[in-house]
Amino acid sequence: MVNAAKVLQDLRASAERKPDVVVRLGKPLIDSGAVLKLDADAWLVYEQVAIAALDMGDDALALKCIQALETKFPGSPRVRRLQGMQLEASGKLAEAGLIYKAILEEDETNVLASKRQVMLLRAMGLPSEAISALVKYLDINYTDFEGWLQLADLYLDELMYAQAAFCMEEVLMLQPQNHIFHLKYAEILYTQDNFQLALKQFCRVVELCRDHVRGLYGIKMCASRLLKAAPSKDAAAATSHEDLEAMDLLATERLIALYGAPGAAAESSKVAATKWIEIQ
Amino acid sequence: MAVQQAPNHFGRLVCLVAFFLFFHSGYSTFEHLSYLKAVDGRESGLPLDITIELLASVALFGLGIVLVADDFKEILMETEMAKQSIESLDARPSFYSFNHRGRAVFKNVILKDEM
Amino acid sequence: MLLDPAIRDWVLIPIMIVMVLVGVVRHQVTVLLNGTPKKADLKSARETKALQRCGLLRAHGVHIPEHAFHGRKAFLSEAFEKGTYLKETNTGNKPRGNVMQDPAYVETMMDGMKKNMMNIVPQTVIMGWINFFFSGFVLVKLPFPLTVRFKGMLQRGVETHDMDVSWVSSLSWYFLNLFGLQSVFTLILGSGHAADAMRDMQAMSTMGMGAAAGPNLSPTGQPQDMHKIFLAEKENLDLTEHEWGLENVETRLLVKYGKKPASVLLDQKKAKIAKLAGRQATKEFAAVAAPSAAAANASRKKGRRQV
Repeated sequence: MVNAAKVLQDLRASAERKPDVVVRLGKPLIDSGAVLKLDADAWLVYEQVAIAALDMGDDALALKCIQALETKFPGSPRVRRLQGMQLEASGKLAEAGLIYKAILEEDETNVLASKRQVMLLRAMGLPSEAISALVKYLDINYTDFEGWLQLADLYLDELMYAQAAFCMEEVLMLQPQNHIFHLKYAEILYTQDNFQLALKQFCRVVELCRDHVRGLYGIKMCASRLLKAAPSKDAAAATSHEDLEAMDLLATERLIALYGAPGAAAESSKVAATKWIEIQ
Repeated sequence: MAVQQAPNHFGRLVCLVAFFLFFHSGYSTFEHLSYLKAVDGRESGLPLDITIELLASVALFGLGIVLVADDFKEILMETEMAKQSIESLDARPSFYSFNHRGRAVFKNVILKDEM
Repeated sequence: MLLDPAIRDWVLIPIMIVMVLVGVVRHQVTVLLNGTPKKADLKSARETKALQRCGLLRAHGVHIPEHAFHGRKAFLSEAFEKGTYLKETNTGNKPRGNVMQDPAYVETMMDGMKKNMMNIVPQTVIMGWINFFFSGFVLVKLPFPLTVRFKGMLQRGVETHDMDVSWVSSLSWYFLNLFGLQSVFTLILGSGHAADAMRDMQAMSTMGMGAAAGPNLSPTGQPQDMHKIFLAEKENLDLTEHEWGLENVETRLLVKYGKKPASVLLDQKKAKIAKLAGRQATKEFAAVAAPSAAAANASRKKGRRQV
């Protein structure tokens, strides 16, 4: 039981979405009542298992958790948002919307309810309304990088790459040391065919996280595209030809070395990857 | 991120012993001073055994704390960041949406207990 | 010098216990008085966030490409100038009038006053109690020597000529406890208890005004003019130059992997400084030349209009 609680705590800290693990570990805890031994953490576990149960379609377990939370914290907006989420998951979108509206009427700065409203609009199949709602939310809560990430995601769904790039720039300003955000920005730029800028961003990714395979792939693809393309008019800002070749070589070398490391990949994948890298 | 490590029992024991020695030396000092006051003796320095006891407790404390403390974390942010996956950084837990097929797929599935 | 152990039993420890208990009671009463935390106001949150946004742009603008930075800079400058982020759009100069009537200001004043009362009343009471009951003898010996100047302050009530200044009266013990028990309170009550940073606040702020509590109050207690702050921020923003951090990232990466020696980076930096200096020199020359050219142009234009 101690082990399960620790795993759940780790998952809470890393924020990964692994509902199967959570439900498999959390359900026996909750059914046996052992969860109450965790004192303050017990309520966090209830919330975590409730959300995971909604992901797994186990509405009974979710309702049980929400009921326990309601008994302990009656009328709390956090519990009510869980109830809204449960209604959302069951498909009763209109009722969920009423709950969120009620929470916002009491406290208009409630962050959780505003966010759920955005996702509700998306679930209803109204992506543009969801986008405008999220933009309004971000106008007020500018520093919420999670919101900016979500907005980027919404834009990407609509294939609005320029706006998605804008959102990623905001995220980069909020969290400049995080290589994953640079990676996402670089990939959006690559999709927009902005190879020059994308190459620089991919370089940044590998600079922040040494030997990042996805970043190295990005460098390889950008460098090879730029080498094959005609020299652009903006020669001052562009990377010099020798630098491009050096990057190409570096990326190829590192990728092959990483794939060749013992135990990194199966022999067949190594062969396939090497062949593919060479022909880029 | 705060992963608890297995408590180092030997380290804790050493710390406990060191604490007792420390406390005992302090009490001995107090008693010694009261004795001096009772016999109206001059305030000479502390007797040698109390000093040795004190120094021993300091040494043991040092050892115990080193044993009990958690492992060091890397200084370079790079190594910490490299351990994080895209799933954890791009997760957005407040923005979960539930109209996905996972609900239908897993609805009546009993999960096997394998890690 | 020997002290009666009864002093230790009946004065030293009781004073400490009383202070701890009074501290706990004061914390609980403060919590009761404060009631539920105030509901946050959407518009004022937005205001403060806008300022943060500008700060972030200035601080981390190096990480985004140039076109993005300039776009945001232009947008924010315009927004600050027009005042789109202000809480209440005051058309023209609304006379501040009677400050006391602004409800938000009054509320924050009351909050500050309440906090101050909660600090002053127990302090005064306990000081009076100690002076009444526990005066006329020395209580503790400080482990460090002090100069003679402190004698009058620390040995009030025991006017001797020759006694070591390290022997102090109960009032000084009270003051020692006042500052020393803060950590004990943090242990018992958790951080954020009522006595926490209040000491410094009290020492620094004037007694009449409430300590800075509301978002619109500067430390002196006057409601701040957000518009002026926005304009100041805008000026700061206008002055910020964009230096893209990814200018030479390829070279940095090659150096990191050892493909190029680190001296390459140094050369690049020197070249950039030289280029900037050159550009600066030509800019100055142009600045000197331009006014004379502009004056010539203006007189020419004027002449045309007059005709």
